[in-house]
Formats: sequence, structure tokens, C-alpha cells
Amino acid sequence: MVNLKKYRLALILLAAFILIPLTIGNTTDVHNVIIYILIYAMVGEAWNLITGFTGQTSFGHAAYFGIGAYTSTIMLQYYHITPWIGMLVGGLIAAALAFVINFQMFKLKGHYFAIATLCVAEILKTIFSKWKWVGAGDGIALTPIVALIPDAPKSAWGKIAWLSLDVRNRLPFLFTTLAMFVIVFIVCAALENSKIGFYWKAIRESHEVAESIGINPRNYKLLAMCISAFIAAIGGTFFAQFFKYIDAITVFPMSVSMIFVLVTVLGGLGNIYGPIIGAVIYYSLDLIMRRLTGSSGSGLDQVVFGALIVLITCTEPLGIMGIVEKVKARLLKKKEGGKENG
Amino acid sequence: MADAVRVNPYNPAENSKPVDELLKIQNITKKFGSLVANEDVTFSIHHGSIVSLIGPNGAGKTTLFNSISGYYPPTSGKVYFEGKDITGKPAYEICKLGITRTFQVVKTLKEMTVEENIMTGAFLHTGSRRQAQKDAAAILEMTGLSDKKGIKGGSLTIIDKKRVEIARALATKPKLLMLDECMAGLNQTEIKDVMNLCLRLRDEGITLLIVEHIMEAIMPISDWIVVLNAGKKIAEGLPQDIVDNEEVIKAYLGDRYNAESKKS
Repeated sequence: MVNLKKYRLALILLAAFILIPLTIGNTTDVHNVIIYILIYAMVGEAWNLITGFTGQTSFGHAAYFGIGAYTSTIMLQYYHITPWIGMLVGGLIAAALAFVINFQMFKLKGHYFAIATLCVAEILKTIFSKWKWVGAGDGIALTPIVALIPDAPKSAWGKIAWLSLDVRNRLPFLFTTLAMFVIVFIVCAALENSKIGFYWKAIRESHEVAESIGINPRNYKLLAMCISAFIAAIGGTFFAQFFKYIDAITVFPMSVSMIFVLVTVLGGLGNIYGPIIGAVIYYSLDLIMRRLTGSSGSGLDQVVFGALIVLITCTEPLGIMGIVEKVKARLLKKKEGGKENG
Repeated sequence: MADAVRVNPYNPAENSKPVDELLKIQNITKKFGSLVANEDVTFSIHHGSIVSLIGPNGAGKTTLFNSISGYYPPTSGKVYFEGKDITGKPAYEICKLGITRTFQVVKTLKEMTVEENIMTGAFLHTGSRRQAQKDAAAILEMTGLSDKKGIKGGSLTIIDKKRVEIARALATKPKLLMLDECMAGLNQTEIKDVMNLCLRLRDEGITLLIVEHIMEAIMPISDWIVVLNAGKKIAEGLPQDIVDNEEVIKAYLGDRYNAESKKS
């Protein structure tokens, strides 16, 4: 039996994600924000596996995100293959790329590894912005499924729409993304509590200790990176399907890699709830700011985020979940103290 | 007690059977550039014994530890474990064969609880979390850490960190446990605890190789002592012989301990 109390926060979040878009947030604006939250939190979870759990800082997850976006888009656009297969193929390509690159790169440690990961995404960005077959600088705009397959049914909930992940009505797409996020979350939670998760954390804490208790650090780091790349590519597919247009500057730049870093660090590095909490706060604030200032043009949101991140990283390196856990520990202490007194 | 009937496998007066070698170190030399950290060290460790490696600071004890456990390959020489050549194998493979070490500077997994620290070691022999937890519980009990299992490794006191260090190594179910100065910095009672733990482990069939500075602790529990000085083995023998060895006294023990041991 799964201990429901242990996953109380997850259940509350899930309920909120189902109810809010149907009730108080039933506007396109809010739906868009929630979809972005889910996509970035999904890739944040992926990033958390390699950096939060295994301790290998990657600043180049846009590489795997972009590969997922490009693979599924090309397969859909050029060969009319559903993105459901496209995302799996994209995931496998991303994982294979992660394996090949990191096989050598894991000889680097700490900052040097982080710099190397940064370069991989930049190299891909340059290649994809020059490569004619993938649209070069123009990118690829996804043709609506109705134009691509003439006799597709018009209903948003129809079979073809599901198969193609078409976004004509945002709600079905939102719930599909939510379902995918839940799967990713469960996979990550299961990994964290397994032998693999324990070994990842041991590697994060100390390479020497890991080796002394029979762990081959490189194999486990590669495993973390490949799983992480696979999930990031799935996130990339959802992004491409939602955004309906991709080019190298949209999916491969450092700023995209930094979003994954940002939401996870904000929410809590090495905590399974970190990415989703971070993404929720980041994008809700973004939405509020935009409503307050009229547009994002004023730049006020950037100033507030900058301040928020400085504040959080300085006072609580484990992010918002770190604060939550501290408060919880204090409350528990108080409760026990109260019992003793009474 | 088991001590009364126990036979020191190294003592020819007690043990007539042929020696049963678990680990054999043959002509190990380790150079770092022009610095010779270990020079031509040879000795062997018998099944079920406690062997101590002593020597002044910089004698090359930890280097030898690293050569055996696979952290640095030796420049020349061989290490045999259960008759198999394990020289130069990576540390994680050597651990899988049955040699686990601890570190002189304790390396507790800070962000993991005591129980999780030990479970990580226990996962070597099982893929199941439940089994690892069960194995860890037995080791928590043995090392006296049961009531601290929920505390994060980073916030433990030094004695508990050292206990966790030993417990995590034990969880890998080693045949040979190598302890690197696990008593340094502990008070008298705590040292007694570790000594008793060592004896208990020996009685359970684990062979121990101990690097230690505290003579009062090491002499009574060791079956055999190997003395290193400036990278070379200068003596090996039964504890009572080592304390009388002139060269060892000169190099390391100092006259004070010599006088004290003669008194008693």
C-alpha cells in the first residue's frame, strides 16, 4: 500500500492542477501558464535527477529538450508520424546522445563538467540553425493537423487530435500534459526510493565513498544522464506541440537550459517537489506581474525574479521546499513539546 | 568468553595448522614522482585475524591502504586476495570481491540519514529496499546507532560519524574490513567501544586490517602487527614482540611506552 500521507502534498497539487483550469482559472491565459508550468517542471524533474540527486551540474539540458522538440516535429511534419511515437524516438536519440557525449565527459568533475555541458547545447544550436533539412534559421512551423491530414475529424477530443497531440482546444492538451507530468513524477519518485536513487545520492555526496561501497560512479552517472535526457526530450516534444513553431534559437539557447535550473533551484534542489513548486511560483508570479504592469515589456518581472532568487539562494540553499521542511520540523517539535508538557 | 579458547593464527605456540592467507601483499612499491611512499612492502593477513599497521606520520600507511583498496594502483608489486591477483583493479570491483575500507577523514554522506547511509552500503547485495532496510537495522543495532537512525549524517558528532563510517562499510558484508584510524580523536570510553566492536567483528568471522596510532588500544586486540617507517616495513610480529623491538621503539613508540609496558 502506498502511504497516502507521505504523498499528501503531491495529491493536493494534483487536485489543484485539475480543478483550477476548470474553475477559477478557466481562461486561455491561465491555461497557457499551467501548460508551461507542467512542461518546464517536467524537464526540471529530469534536470533534478542528474544535478539534484547525482550532483553533476548540467547547464545544457536544452540540448536534450531541443532534440525531443525537433525529432517529434520532423517526424510529424515530414512523415506524418504521431508525436506519441515521436517523443519516444526523440527520447531515445537524446539518451543515446547523452550516453555518447558523457561517456568521455564524466571524466571531468565539478565546474569543468558544467562548462562542457554548456558547450554541447551551444554546438547543437549552431548546427540546427544552419542545417537546411531542419529549416535552418527559419525553423519549422507545425501545420495544423486538419491541413496535414484532410479527413481528420474536427472535434478537439477526437481520435486524430489525441494521436497528434493537436492543440485546438487547450484543455485536452493541458490534461494530457498533466498526465505525462504525473507519470514523470512517479518515475522520479520511484527512482529516488530505489537502489539507484541511493547510489546516485552517494555519488553526489562523495565519489570516494561511492567507490568504497562497490558503486561504479561512471555507470550510475551515465544512467542518470540518459534517463534525464529521455525525460527532457519528452518535455521538448510537448513544448513543440504546444508552441507550434520551433527553431534553434527557441529550443537550444542557454536561456532555456537556465529555466530548468531556475525552477528547480527555486523550488528545491534534490527534492522531488522542487521543480513543480518552483515552476508554479515562477510562472504564477510572472502572470501576476504581467497583469499588474500590463505587459512583460516593463521588465519589472525580471527585477522581482532576480531579487527573489538572490534572496532564496542566500537564505535557504534548498529552495522553497527547504523552507517548508524547516517549518514542518519546527511544528513537529512544538507538537512533541506540547505533548510532554501536557 | 571466546577469547579464552581463541587461537591466534599467527602464534606458532598456539596454532599448528598451516596459515590460511586471505590477503597477501607482495613487494608493493608506490612512487609519487620522486617521492617513494611505499617501498617493497610484503606481508600477509590470515583469515579471521586482526592485523594492525602502525608507524609514525608519513610512514605510508594510508598509501598502502589506497593501493590495496584500489584507489591508486601500486607502481610495482602485487596484491592477492583469496589467491586471486587484484592489483590495480578499480575500488568498486575490489569492494564487490569483499574488501571494504573506511576513511581516515570521515566521509559521512551528509545529506542522507544514518539509516540511509548504511542502506547505501547494504544495497551491494540486494536490489530490494526492504531487504536493505532490514540489513541496515541489524547493523544499526550492532553499532549502537539505532536511536540515531533518522539524523542526517552531517549533523552527527565525531564518534557517531566514525560509527556510521564503520557501519556503512560493514553493510557491504566484507570479508576483509580495513579501518583507517577509526579511533583518532575519541575519548577513552569511545575507544573501548570501538575495540569491543572490532573483537566482536573478528568473532563473527570478519578479518580486520587496522591502521592506528593509539597503541593502548591496538596492542591488546591485534594478533599481528606490521610496522612501517618512511615507506618501508621495519618489523612485523606478535604485539608482545613488537613492543620490545628496539628498532620499532626508536622509530616510533618512544621510550615512554617501552618503560610503561615493561612495568606492567
